Amino acid sequence: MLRRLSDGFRWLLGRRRMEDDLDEEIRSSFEMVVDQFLARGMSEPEARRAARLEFEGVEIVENVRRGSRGFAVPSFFDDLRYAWRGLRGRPSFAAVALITLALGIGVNAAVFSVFYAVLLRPLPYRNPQQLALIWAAFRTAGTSRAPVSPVILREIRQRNRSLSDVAGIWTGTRTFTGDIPEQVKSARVTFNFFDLLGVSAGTGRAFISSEAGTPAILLTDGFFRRRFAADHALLGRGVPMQGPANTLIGVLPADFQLHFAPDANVPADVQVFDTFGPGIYSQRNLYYIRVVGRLKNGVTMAEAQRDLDRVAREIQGAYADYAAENLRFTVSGMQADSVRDIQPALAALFAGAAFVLLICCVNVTSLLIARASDRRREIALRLAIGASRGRIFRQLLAEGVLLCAIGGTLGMAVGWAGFRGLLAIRPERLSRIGDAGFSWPVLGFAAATSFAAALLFGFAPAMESFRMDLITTLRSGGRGLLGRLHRRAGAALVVGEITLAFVLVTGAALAARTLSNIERVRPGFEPRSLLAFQLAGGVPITGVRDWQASLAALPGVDRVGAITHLPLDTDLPNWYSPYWPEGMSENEAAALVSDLRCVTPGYFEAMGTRLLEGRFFDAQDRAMGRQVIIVDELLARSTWPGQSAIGKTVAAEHVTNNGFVPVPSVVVGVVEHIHNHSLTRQVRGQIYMPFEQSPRTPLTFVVRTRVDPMSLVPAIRTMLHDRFKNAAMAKARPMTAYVAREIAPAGFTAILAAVFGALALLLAATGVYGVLNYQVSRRMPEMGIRMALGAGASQVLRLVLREGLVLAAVGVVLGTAAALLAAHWLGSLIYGVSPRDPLSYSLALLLLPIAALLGCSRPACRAAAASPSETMRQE
Amino acid sequence: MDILQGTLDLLILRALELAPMHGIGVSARIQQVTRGAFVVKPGSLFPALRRLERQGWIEGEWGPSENNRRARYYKLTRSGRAQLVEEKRNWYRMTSAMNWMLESEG
Repeated sequence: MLRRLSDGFRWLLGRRRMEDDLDEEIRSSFEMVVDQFLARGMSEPEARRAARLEFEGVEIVENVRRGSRGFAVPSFFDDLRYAWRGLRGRPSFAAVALITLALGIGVNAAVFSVFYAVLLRPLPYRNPQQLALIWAAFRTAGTSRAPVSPVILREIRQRNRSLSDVAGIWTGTRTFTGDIPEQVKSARVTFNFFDLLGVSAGTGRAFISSEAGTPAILLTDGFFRRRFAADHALLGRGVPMQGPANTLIGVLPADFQLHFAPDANVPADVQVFDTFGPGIYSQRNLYYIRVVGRLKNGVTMAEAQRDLDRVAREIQGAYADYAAENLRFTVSGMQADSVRDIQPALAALFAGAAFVLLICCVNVTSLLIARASDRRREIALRLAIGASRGRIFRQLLAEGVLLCAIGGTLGMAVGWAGFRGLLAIRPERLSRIGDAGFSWPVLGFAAATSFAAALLFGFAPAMESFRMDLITTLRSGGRGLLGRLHRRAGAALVVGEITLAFVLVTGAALAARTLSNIERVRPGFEPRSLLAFQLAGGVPITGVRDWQASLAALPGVDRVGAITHLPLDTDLPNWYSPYWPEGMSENEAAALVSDLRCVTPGYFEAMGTRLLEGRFFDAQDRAMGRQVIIVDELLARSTWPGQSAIGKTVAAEHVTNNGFVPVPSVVVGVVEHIHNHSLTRQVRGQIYMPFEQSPRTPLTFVVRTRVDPMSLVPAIRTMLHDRFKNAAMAKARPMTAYVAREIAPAGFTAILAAVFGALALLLAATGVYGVLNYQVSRRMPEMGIRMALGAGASQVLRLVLREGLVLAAVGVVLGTAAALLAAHWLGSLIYGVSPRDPLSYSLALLLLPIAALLGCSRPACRAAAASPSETMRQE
Repeated sequence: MDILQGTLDLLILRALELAPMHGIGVSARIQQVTRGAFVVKPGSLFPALRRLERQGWIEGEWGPSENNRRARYYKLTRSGRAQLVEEKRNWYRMTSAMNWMLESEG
């Protein structure tokens, strides 16, 4: 007994020395073998290679020994080094795992960078979470997101208790004069607008209260540099611009930009700002001001909403006309509001990317589990010679961490490339991603994903290994219980993968169908061979007719027309207003609202808009003539159902010398509905007035050409300068550009969805391959026995294929259920196709089994090629 | 030819019976004496040497090799010699048994 104890001590003490001895012994022995080979006449490298071959396997033994070292606890770094050697030793496993991980993390990093830049990154204002937009809803507005009148703005400012400040903005255009006149977008703001946002001028200063309504102007940095070469001498002096003399008081910081939702009609690229004068506050029925408020400290959006509800009631109590309009307000956070239109699409894309990552994780986990199972003999051996479970666990974890560190790094590279790709195809609406780039939050996100994946990868195989029964494993050469467990876990993973892939493939099909549906929409005009440009300043109303005639006379021009607000142009605030059909009671007519546009004769012909009934405007529809209008089919149908609109009289708002006044006019024509706001929605009916009977500016000319539309621009510009010294040509572009901009988000979504779908299919196929291949290799003896007992190769082949297809079938059934559940959220993202579109589902039903079949083909062939004697010998 | 399970220890002990030797020497000697029938690769040699050393049957000591490298020379201990005798006896018993079986005439 005593002897055994002292032996134990001696052994413990001597053990450390022995380990070092062994290391050195192996090293010197290696050199001896090299010497031997050298003595046989080999070259040095040859001898070393041959010696390495001789010593193959020593490393594993050494690892086993290290793993079993009781004290002198090895650092995690040692574990990493060991894991690194393990990966290098199995390059194909490492490559597959790393590529899969890099794809998953990369796709996510790229999509998250867009997601972050557009949805999460705070707006570049002071305490942006306190900024709120206040939208008005009233009966004749036709929308719950309407602008307010100056009187309402004043009332909100005076009556609210939740806001520290309230400002308003309204946008239009201004024309800078000089050698080359130029029209730019402009905004008129309340003097406190920049103070409220927390933006101070980069040079000079922002507006002060005494400047309300004075000719003081602010320019953006970009415009100041481009047009005035950043000439600071201009500060405090006037710049050449149409309208009354002005004073340039400051230049905004270079990074300043407006961030409003598209339906606010406050474009991001406003270049010049001036202020509302105090005089506007008598305007009661002109709704054009967008309201921004800053919440007082500690006030929530919900509290502000309740406060504004109270304000609305008070205003209704004080003004009978606002009471009749049932005026109400909606408060929404500025950040969320600016992206509300694209939020669902981005959220869906993000979810898609997350699915791809999930599939990647499943694949890598399944690979690692398979590997852990292959290594269970090694693990059992280590446990047997005394390694603790914690020790082995750490080693497996190290492998996961290493995989994810490398995979994450590769993923960042993939993500960066993907992000560049996204930048190249981004729709204009996502322009904010341009200046966000690949930032810290994105890196953090990628790191977090990798870390989460690492934990998963570390734990799953480790848990798997510890389930095993030591003795059984050692005795059976590593098969048995664990094989069954793994088979079940692997099957579950593959089924999950196919389920996710099914959802992504149906999503991709739906996105593709949505895109093709949107591309097929007829916008109410023919966008090809059509040039559009806006004309600013310098052209007298009486000169428009002649100008149009000279345009029409240009070579290559077919027809010319003009309109006050081009369809699909979101820069201008929409002009819409109530109309009153004659002979309809006050109540019936109460909710009738239409878009209003003034057009010159020839406009519809130039646009290629179809006439459904009656006639187009012609040269006889002059200021002094009978007041006439043309309506669209939507308005005609809803106002006079079952009757012809021709000859009906409608009082519609006209621009007259007395401002906006309803003028009774006779309907002379009905045209097809023109998509003014969106290709996918018919927003409201439309009334068109002859320009000369309701002269409103600015005018946008449309030129139907026989040549490339843009090739006419120089000639038109020269002609314009010859005729009108101070006129500017703005936004000259082909009409197809406006349509393309509308299609772009759907195209963006479709491309990404297709990429996700394809990745998911590929990954599902690899997943099936990985699991089945592993199972086949485990079951080779069984296959051998089957064949020895007379089973044909085709029977074995069928056995494996059946296994794969059963998994695919279960996955497809679950996938159909999951996709149908997800369809609920797709409603607003798809167009012209049901979220349960049979075609899209059929596509997934077709593709997934094919992917599964491809995945099982190789393992199946391998099994069928099993030679009975070969496999029996392995036993 | 594969080395029968359990015989590697016997081969090593026997190789060391005549003179102390380093690891590579042991494997070279086994290969030479068995006329190349048995090849002991380092992957199995070193764990076996270590096992034997732990059992106390052999003892390692550093010394210079023929090429002036530091090499670890093993020699049999007293209990190692006893073990060799024991293993030899077992081996003969087994081979005779095998021979009887193989050479019996039905």
